[in-house]
Amino acid sequence: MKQIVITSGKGGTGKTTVVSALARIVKSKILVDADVDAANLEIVTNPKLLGSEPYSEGLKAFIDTDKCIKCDICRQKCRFNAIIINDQGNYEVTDYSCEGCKVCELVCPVEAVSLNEFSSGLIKHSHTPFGNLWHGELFAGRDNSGKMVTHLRQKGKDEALDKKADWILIDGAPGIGCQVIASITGVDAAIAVAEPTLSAIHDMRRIIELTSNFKVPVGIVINKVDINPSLVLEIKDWARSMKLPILAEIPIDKRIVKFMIQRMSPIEIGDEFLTGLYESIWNNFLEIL
Amino acid sequence: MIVSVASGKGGTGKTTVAISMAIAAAPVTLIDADVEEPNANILLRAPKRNVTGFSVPFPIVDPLRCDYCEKCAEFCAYNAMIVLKGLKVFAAPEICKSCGGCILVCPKDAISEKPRKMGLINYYSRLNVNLIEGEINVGEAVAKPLINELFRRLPEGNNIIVDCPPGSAHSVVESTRSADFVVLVTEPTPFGLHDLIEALKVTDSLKKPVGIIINRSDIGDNKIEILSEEKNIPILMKIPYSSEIARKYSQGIPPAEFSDYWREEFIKLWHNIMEIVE
Repeated sequence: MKQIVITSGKGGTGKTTVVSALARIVKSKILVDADVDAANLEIVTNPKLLGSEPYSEGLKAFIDTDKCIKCDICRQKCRFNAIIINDQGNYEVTDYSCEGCKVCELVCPVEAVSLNEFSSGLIKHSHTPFGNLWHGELFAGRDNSGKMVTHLRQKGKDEALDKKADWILIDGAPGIGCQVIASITGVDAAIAVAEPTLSAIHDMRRIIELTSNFKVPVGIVINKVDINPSLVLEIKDWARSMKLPILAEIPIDKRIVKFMIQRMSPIEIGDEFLTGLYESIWNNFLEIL
Repeated sequence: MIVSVASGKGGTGKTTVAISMAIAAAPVTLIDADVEEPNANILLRAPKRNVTGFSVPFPIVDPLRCDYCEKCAEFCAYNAMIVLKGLKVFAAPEICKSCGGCILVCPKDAISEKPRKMGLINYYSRLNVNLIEGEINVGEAVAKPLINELFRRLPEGNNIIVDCPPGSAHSVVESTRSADFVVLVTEPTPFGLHDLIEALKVTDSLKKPVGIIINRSDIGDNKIEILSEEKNIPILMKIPYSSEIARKYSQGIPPAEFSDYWREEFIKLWHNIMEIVE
């Protein structure tokens, strides 16, 4: 069983489009959506929810105003500026800023602070025609520490081992921070989806620096090649210098957006050339593995 | 006035809108709060005026004082303190959140802090747009302290535009909480809609006035319009798909710079937002 993450650095380059196509091409797999604060894989995989459970990833402080003597020590010691004095003049913890470090509980002289489990989202398990999907829903504004991604991936891995699936396909999040690191740690290989724009090239370089730090082999898909053919050449030159394979070059095709809007992948268009391009992503990728 | 430009979904055109609005509203300060992948200067193409390192406090354990009691490791909520009995006690840099708890619990006074560099703050200026950009080092996991630092460096009295990170998680809260108005950039697809709804939960909980910009407005369906009517949120602008905008964007040139029409539209947008805020 091998774990593959589809990543990009920049958002909107076509990660989910590529995963939706690979979901139809690759046999024997489990799907994981690792973008928990904008989970979009469910939109194009026609999932039937099998179950969901609340997810809590830490503690938040709570101040008992009856016990609080307003000594101000907790507010001074909180490094996250999470403790405020509210309109009623009482000390209060702002949920959004609290990191659950427990320093306020430690320094409070009258035991007015307690720490409670804090629900940060839902873990969802769904059946799709393309294999089961593990996806999350991080409640808006909650901290995305990457723990939820790690949890989803563990669930996916358990199921893949149980069902003897050959692959786990992970749809990554944009950026290079916690949730992206959590989606890359321990994978067997990565596919980076780039587009020929200066922003996407900048972001791709940063994400590939990250995958290299993790010693994860990576192949590149150049999406929307017609935007700027000379930048396509620049990506290819750079990839050659880094000894990274180009897996496919995909043109802009208005039908792709049209089908994605109807919750279908580019494969359902039924265009032999286009299907062949997406198949070549996977075939070329198998060679680098 | 502080206006944050956010989106939910990545790649909808936040940076294009933020830069175009900044050029239209100049003189203005632009904050690039997408510190994981800062792209604003790719579209501003400004020379770097200044750069400063950004550090967070990081615990250092004095081996002469430490007696391996493990109290720091027991206390650390992030499991960042690693104790190798009789050998070494140290904090894992990318996991530590600099809460200072280990220092407080250590009975031997063996822990102190020194600054640990985790990113840069870059200053650029062109077209009367002063850009302050945060950039975390590759491999750093926690962006929040750097985003907060950017907001501590806001100049007084200026109009400020904030280019936010994608998503609807905490970093979006940090980069919209001080805003007077939030512009949400989306696209008319189920993906844009889904992520817009998530981003609206953040702005609703912060009680921020918002407006929507629909980018590539002619590629999809009309569900964003239906949502805006239901929730009584103004649609501030529609930008139809244009291969010219896409090509210029790919070279780092925003619409307000190459097109008089779009410059005028962004000036109108800025005035419109000012009126709503007042």
